[in-house]
Amino acid sequence: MASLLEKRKAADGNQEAIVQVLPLGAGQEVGRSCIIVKYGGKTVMLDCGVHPGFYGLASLPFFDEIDLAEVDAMLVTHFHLDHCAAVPYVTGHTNFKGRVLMTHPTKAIVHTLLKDFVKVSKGGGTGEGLYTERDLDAAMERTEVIDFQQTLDLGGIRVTAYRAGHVLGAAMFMVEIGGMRLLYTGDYSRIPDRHMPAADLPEQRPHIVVVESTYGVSRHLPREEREQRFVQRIHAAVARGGRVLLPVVALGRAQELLLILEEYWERHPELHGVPIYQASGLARRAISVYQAYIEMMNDDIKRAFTVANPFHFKHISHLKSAAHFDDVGPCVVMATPSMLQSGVSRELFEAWCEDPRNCVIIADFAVQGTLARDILGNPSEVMTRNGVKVPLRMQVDAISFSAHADFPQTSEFLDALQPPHVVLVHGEATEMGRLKKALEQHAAALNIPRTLYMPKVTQAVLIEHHAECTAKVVGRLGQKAAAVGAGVRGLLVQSRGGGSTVMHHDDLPRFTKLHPGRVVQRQAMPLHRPFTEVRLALEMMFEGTQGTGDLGRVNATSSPTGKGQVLRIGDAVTLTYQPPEPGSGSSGGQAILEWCGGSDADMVADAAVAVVLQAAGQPPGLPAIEVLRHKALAAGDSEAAERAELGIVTALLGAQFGPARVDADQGLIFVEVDGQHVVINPKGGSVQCAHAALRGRVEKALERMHAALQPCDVSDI
Amino acid sequence: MAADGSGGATGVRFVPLLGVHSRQPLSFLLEIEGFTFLLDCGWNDAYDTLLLQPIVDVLPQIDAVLLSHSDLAHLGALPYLVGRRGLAVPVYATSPVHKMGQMVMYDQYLSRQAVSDFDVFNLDDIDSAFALMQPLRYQQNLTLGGKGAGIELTPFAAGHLLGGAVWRIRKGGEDYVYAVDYNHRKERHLSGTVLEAAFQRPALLITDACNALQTAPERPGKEQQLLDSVMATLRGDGSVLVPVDTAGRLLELVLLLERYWAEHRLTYPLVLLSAMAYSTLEFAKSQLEWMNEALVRNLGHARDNPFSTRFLKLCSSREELSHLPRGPKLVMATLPSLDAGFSRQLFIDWAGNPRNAVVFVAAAEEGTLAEHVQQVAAATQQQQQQQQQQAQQQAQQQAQGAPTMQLVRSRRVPLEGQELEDHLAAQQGEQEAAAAAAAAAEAAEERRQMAVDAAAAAAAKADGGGGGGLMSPRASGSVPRANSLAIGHLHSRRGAAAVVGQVLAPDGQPVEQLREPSSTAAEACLVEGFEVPRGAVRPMFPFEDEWEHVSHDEYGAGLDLADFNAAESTGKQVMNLAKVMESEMAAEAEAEEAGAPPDLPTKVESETITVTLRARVLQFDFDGLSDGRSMRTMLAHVAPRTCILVHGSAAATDAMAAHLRHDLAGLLATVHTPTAGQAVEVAAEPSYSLVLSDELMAGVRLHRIGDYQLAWLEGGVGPPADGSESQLPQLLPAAGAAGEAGYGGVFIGDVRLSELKQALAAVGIASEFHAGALYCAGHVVVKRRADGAEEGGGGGGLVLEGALSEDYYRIREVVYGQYHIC
Repeated sequence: MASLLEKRKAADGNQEAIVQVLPLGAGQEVGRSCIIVKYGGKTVMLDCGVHPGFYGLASLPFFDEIDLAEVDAMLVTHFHLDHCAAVPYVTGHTNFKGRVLMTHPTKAIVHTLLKDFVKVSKGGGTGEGLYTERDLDAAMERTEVIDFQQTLDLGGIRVTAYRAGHVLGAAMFMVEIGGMRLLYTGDYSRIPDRHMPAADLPEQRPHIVVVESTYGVSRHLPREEREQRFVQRIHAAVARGGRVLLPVVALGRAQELLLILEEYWERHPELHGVPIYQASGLARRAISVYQAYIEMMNDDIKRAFTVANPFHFKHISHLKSAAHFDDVGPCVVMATPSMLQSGVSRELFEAWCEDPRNCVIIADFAVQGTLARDILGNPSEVMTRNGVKVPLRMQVDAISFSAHADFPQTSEFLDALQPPHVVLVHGEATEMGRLKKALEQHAAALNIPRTLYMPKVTQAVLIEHHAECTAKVVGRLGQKAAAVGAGVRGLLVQSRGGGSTVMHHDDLPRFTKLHPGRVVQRQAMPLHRPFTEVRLALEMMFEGTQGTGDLGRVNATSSPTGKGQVLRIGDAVTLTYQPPEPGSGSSGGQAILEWCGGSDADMVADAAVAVVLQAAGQPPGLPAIEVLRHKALAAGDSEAAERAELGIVTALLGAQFGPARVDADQGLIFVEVDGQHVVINPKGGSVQCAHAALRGRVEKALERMHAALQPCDVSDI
Repeated sequence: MAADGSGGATGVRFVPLLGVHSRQPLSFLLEIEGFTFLLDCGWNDAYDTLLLQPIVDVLPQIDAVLLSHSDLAHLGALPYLVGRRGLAVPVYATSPVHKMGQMVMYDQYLSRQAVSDFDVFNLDDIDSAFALMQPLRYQQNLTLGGKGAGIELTPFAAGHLLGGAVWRIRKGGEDYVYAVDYNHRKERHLSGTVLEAAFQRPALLITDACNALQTAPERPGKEQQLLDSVMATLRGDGSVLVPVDTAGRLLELVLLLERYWAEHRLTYPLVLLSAMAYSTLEFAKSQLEWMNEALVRNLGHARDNPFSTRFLKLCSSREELSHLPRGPKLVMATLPSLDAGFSRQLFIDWAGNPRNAVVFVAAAEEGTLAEHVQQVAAATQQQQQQQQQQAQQQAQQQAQGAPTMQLVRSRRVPLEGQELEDHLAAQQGEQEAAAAAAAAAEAAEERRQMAVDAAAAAAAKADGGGGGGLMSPRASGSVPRANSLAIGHLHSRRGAAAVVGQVLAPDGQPVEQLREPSSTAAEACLVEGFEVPRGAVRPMFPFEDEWEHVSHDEYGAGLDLADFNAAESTGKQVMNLAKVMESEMAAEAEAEEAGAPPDLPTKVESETITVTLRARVLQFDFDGLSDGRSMRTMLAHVAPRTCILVHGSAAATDAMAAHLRHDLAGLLATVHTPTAGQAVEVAAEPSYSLVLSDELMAGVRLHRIGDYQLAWLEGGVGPPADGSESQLPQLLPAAGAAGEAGYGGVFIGDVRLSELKQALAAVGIASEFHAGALYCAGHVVVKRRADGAEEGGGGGGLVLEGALSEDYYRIREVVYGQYHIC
């Protein structure tokens, strides 16, 4: 997989433009939801659950596929184990360093729930569990909370939580990285029920939606119909003196059923003598969370809350333990586990199954191989855990109260959001395949651009996304909008909030808390030559220097000592000459170079230093000739200039090779080096000498002198 | 100042209406490019409608209201403005401000109504005002549409009261922030404000100077003092009256006292006496997500909702209070001003007893009895101190020492005899008039939503005309009262009930024969409830919280089937528990009834009495507001480009302005302290947007500097790219390929000489300070550049001076290393 990514990277050289969606779990399967999203150098993990079909390490998502240290943030949608149970493992036993986010109720319930999980996985016969209670506490300690509709910025990753329906605290996450928006639904339901609202429809359109596909292309019956059947069965059973057993999962749907029962009891005073028991310790403990987070639920509940807290059940008692249960007459008992494998629900079932007045209602999906599934087949007898066959006479019903989106919900949801890319997760391969086909056909019929993906676990989906990076030009640069073709030079400033601005560096203190710094530099050099010579050398070096025309201008006020001559080289550098103190007896003055640090100015200043130093070491008499040449050039007298150049070359050659003699009429220079005579024609560049090596040296020197006589251009600096 | 005025449409304009250069209630107008916000609309205990005149004058311009806190000073005028002045615009607030604010206003009304013919607004007005609310969550971005298109509203935690908000209004990439009454300290029930973390150089910050001159004592000490004096009074056989607000700081106080009572197992009754006591606590229980995270930490497994109080007793009437055991007790009572409510009644009853104490936990509003009491007490204390110096007169002074004050005691009594008859006759006339008015109004008004308000207003007018001093609290009988009281009786769960109701046959008997034959095959059972396509194996992943072989309960005890057939007595316990709950509910309902004014015609009886203040008066700063120094630190950190100071005494405002001008001098910020009605224009910053092309960004090197990332950027503007979402012009790399020409020219940062000295030492260059300059290696001097030096661009920076030498370049290298260079 990685190699493909490498190839893509190499192909366009721009990895930033590719979104990688990699399921480490829940790819063409249900369980261990864990999806990695990478884009623009950021990595986000969506959910971190275990697979209920496996134990121990085998139940974890395939964390080895990635380097967990790279994960910047982990977002957990809700408290079901296949979405959250691996969080303490990742935080406690891997090199994961990122942040962990959950909603308030999710965090509260996850803590309770995983405490049980730790106990159970230890007791499950597999030896040590995945993690200890201490790992769990540490994980909870570092978990941050996010509220619905809230947008948090996690350093370049903007996360917004939306209500997902499903269970209390369930969230969908909109993840925005560098302008790319991805929506992860987790488990969601678009139909409101008793206590949960429908999933929100995010107002911003995502580019990619990662959506659950649990129910594939199936459709739910209307909720009212299901509720009606549910209470009918119960009422009928208790009316004939029977007991009703509701095997449930402790959290989530159980609360929905309690609300239905509570309301029905409230409306039927004749039932008030029939007790309703809630026999799950977990549910009892979590009900305080339900009571506290009324605000997270739907409007019906919130409205009811203005009268009284609807989770203060009047007709429902919690069974602290089996010892508190008094099995004397008609009653309704809600007990775990939901599949009647063991525990309280199983015991009650076995105790009650022979009485035809009794009734058991399976409200969750019945998994194959469990007693719950078996009794739906209407057998005449069942096997107790003691191995005794007893007749099954009680009434058996199955009414589903599931809170996953079905096909119409998913389809409408996607039609409303219109994401160009849809990644299916959390569903079995065949179901997912059907859903993919149906959604593709639907999109094609409506002419909506939509690409669907159904990656297997560890198989990455690569989606090209090109995000625009916009910047606001402010301050003195932003005075008027730039026309096409205009240049913009300034500082690009990206603040923590994510906005990019372009501004002049002097505007920094207006818009940021940064200050432009300055390093003013003053460099002093002793000067034993007349200043005029230095000045000339600089002038020759830097053509176009501001002040070429008025070189030597005396500016008494800006000189640090109040007197001296100031020379400007380019815009950046000034050179101040301080003549020797008359009384000091010192032979030379001082040149002070002053400039404001920066790469350009430093370059000019350093060059100026070189020029000054060179001028200081020049052969005597040369500057005078240079003055002549300069004057001649200024006057346009090319002949005189040529003559002066000849003089300069003579002086330079003399400095290098010993005494030189010039024949001005012929334009020839004669030099004698160690008895070897050299005749030089500087104009033609020809050198005559018997000694080849010496001739070469002189030729090279001559070449350099010619080059040096041409001034360089510094007008830009 | 018409919205379409010349300057109004482009810039930002701020007009303080109330609450500048004073501690008056707050209300300001903020106009952003033609869209006008009313920031808070507070009122005070005087309920003087004249005070609101500035708001009433600008009412037609207002497009939306933003509320920051749930107390009188921030939202008190809302019911009046909505109910009596026809304000009908969206009101944005956080959900706790919505809920608690409503409690506050109910309590205000009920307390006033109990002692006067309070006619400024009524319960209907409160309901219609709060019906306009659009609750938001912290950090929820709300994008406005219509006239306010492009404006994004976001509330952030302010810390002071539950749900208290700092508002960010964002338009065109600029942030305008309204932050008053914030608290940076973490408290028992609230986390501190996020002001500092959330904002950096906003274009405008409107903030308060209230506490500018205050220095906050350490919290533990402050709380201990409070508890100590409370305990001293209780042990001295005296009772303590704590006047509190209805739903704000009260919560913090409840947590503090409840915990203290629990820790010390105190038996003195701890009472909250407020018409809204039950509702407030219930709401608090359900708003934990707005509170301090530490408070919630134990919620899941310890089952402790911090507001399920064990010691605190809730009373909503004097009668309930009288049922409590006699003797010393601590009573927190509303209203905080002592102008009305239970706190006033208790004050009148208790002030004369020198063993009692009145403990104020908030600074009193101007002109209230609370303020008067505090002043009198302070004066007495001063006097006593002086007198203690003249010890010889002490005995004589004590005899005459206690100050007295004249107070009006009012109560509402039912009408009797002739009065009642007169009233009934008058009422009938009123009702007819009101009905006519309502009908007329309804006919005229087509907007269904506004009908109730209009009718209420009409009814109120009719009342005022004919009723004189007599008015039943439910006088406007013709008005359909959607919800007559704070809570309770409001909404039945009718909607949901209807669904279940269908189970019954028409004769009301449960239908029994509906039992379906359960002989269907397994598949048939499976499809009940949803449609499963053929071949689907397990449509839903089963989730189990309890694994197989559960043989122990969560306490570790073995589960035995025999236990399920336990003795009868245990079953009764369960039932008893249910009964207790039931009776609690009944008591609650009763309390609500008691809190409501009776539905009989009543009148107010007043008498002037003389109260001698012998009880001790204590005052503690429990306001939960940042003190002056912290405010300065925070504001310097936020560093707004423009800052407007409001809400605070003139002295505090001036002091704060001076501080800010000093602290923000280097950042070119402006500070305004407008007087009421004086508009402040904030010039719009000219700007335009560009898309930075990928080619350009590929060559950009970002440097991280503090909270920012910076890079030198040089490019040429080109036409928008094909298929660009925004269609903005693009910035392409400069054509000359001299991309790096300007690079290295911008130094950023502020270097301290001491840091430089260390850096030099690290590379082995010795340096020492002399006369404020750093002498390095003997012949290079580094000193700070004098402020206001030449070349503009502000002061700062360094001067590096020295003779040409190798060391010079080495030192320069180190100096450069201290800066971020782009």
